[in-house]
Amino acid sequence: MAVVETRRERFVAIDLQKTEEGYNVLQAILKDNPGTRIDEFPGYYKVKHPEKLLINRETVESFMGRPWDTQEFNLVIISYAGNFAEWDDDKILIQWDTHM
Amino acid sequence: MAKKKLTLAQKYHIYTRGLDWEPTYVSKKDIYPYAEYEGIKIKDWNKWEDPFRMTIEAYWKYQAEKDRRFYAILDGFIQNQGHLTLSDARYLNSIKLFIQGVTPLEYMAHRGFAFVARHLPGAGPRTAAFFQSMDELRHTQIEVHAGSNFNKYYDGFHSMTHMHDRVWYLSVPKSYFDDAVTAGPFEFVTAISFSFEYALTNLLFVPFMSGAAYNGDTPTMTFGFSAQSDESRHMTLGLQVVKFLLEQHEDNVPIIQQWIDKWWWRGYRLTSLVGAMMDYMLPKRVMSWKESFELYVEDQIIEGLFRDLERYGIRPPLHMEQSIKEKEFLSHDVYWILFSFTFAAAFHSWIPTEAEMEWLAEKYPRTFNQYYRWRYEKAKEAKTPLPGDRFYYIGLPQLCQVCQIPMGFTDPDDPNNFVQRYTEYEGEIYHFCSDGCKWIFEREPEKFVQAWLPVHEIYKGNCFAEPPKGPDDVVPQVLRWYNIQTDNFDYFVSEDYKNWKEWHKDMATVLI
Repeated sequence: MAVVETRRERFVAIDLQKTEEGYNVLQAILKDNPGTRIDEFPGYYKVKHPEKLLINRETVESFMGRPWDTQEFNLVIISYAGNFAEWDDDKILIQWDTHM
Repeated sequence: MAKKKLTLAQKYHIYTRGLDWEPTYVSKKDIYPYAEYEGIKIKDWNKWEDPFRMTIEAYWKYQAEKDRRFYAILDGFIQNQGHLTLSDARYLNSIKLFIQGVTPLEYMAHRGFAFVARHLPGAGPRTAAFFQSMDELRHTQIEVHAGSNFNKYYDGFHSMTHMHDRVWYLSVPKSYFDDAVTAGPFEFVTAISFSFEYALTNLLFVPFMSGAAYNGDTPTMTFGFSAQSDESRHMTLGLQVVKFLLEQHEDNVPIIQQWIDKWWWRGYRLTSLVGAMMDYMLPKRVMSWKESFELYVEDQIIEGLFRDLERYGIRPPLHMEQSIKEKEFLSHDVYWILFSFTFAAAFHSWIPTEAEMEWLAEKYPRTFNQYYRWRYEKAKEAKTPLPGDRFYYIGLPQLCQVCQIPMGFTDPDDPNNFVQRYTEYEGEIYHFCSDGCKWIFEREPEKFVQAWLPVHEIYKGNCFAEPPKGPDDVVPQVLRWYNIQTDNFDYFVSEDYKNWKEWHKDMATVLI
């Protein structure tokens, strides 16, 4: 008989490229989102949080040492779990349970 | 004083809604003839918004940057003879499956989204579908460019589009996308953007690409992660379209639920090829199929996504529980099928090494040693007249009428048996690998009776380069029609292996 083992956990996540820029975005996420966990894999970081992940432009800029457009996030994201609740000039917010 | 810059939200609005117009002398029905026949009801297209707020100028800017990075990495890899630094040439067999099976689907996705970008009445989703159509074409290009370097040195890369239309295992991905592009625009978006891209492409483009990185294939890792970063936008499109449709009218809910039920199982069966690639074809492994299924499907999709959709009256896909039950069996069943029929495939297979079998036993403590290890022990002893000194299944398998995979899926509730299902339709019997595929057939039998099944077509005499001169000439004539030359049989009797050994003969450490 098949024994079905399920290990289910609810979180939002971002899969980030393991690059210089990805690392800076990762640092900004860790600073602004207490309780964030990181899993490391070859080539990428998986960043998880039980409720939400917020990326602040200003925090990313402080790690990059240069201006950063929130649309540059397209260059470091690989994938995500959740919803983009906000994406404007100053911040990106990923969480579940958002309406359009 | 300089003019104030537009905000992202303002720019997005101007470049999408602002460029749309109301027709005056042609009716909307004539412009969008496919908008209604699927039964989907829309009250207000303006309720739709793309959370990525992607505009055309941003699209060019960031996509160009992604491509520049990819080509820089590819150039570096080629200049540096990067193929010689791969973990092992066996690795490339997973990339052969990718280039033959997945890359042509990227092209079909480009066509499908071009259709959607033309035929959805809303300006917002039309714009998003247009970007996606361009993304998919770009994915085709970067994958072909990455593969063309390997084509100089290894078998199996030379004839992808020709093979995609003919070779037996490639009818699995081909039939999947043929099914999608012959659906209406709303079903297509639900099938591809939502069911495939949100729920399943992570399995292909994240853990598998991490595996590519781990095995030294930086161009594949780069195109994979770059493609999946576009998929993030596509996932958003899929999710937004589904939520939008569910919010627009309650009559849409049962239609969407059925599409989710159908396309979960179609996509899941297609993705099973990735299970075999991850667990058997990567010499250095990052995570097992089961682990990636738990992370990317059970946690992110069932516990995350579908809990979010409950309030709309949507439940997880009908046959999801079966997929969970199969997670300890699936990759082993699929690799065994690929292994058994490698005499007619454009890639090589091999008996897993003892160390690899230990890894499989550790990752699959309830199934590998119990149901699969003995097959490879026997395969070593069995002799066939074919090259490789091991077992091949000399014959043609029964294919599932829907997913077109040979019917070799273990029943998790009775693991010494394969699942065999059938149904009768207009006096003919049709066979299925699973309850999921049987359910899909019975919902649209008039569609799936038309399936082009490679084994049936061989028996009908439609797959020969020239008429066979006798029974021994049947398979050679099929292989000639496929354009399979020295691409088949066991890895250890292949040109790839011979060359790999030659290229590394001066190294102090001997690689297998």
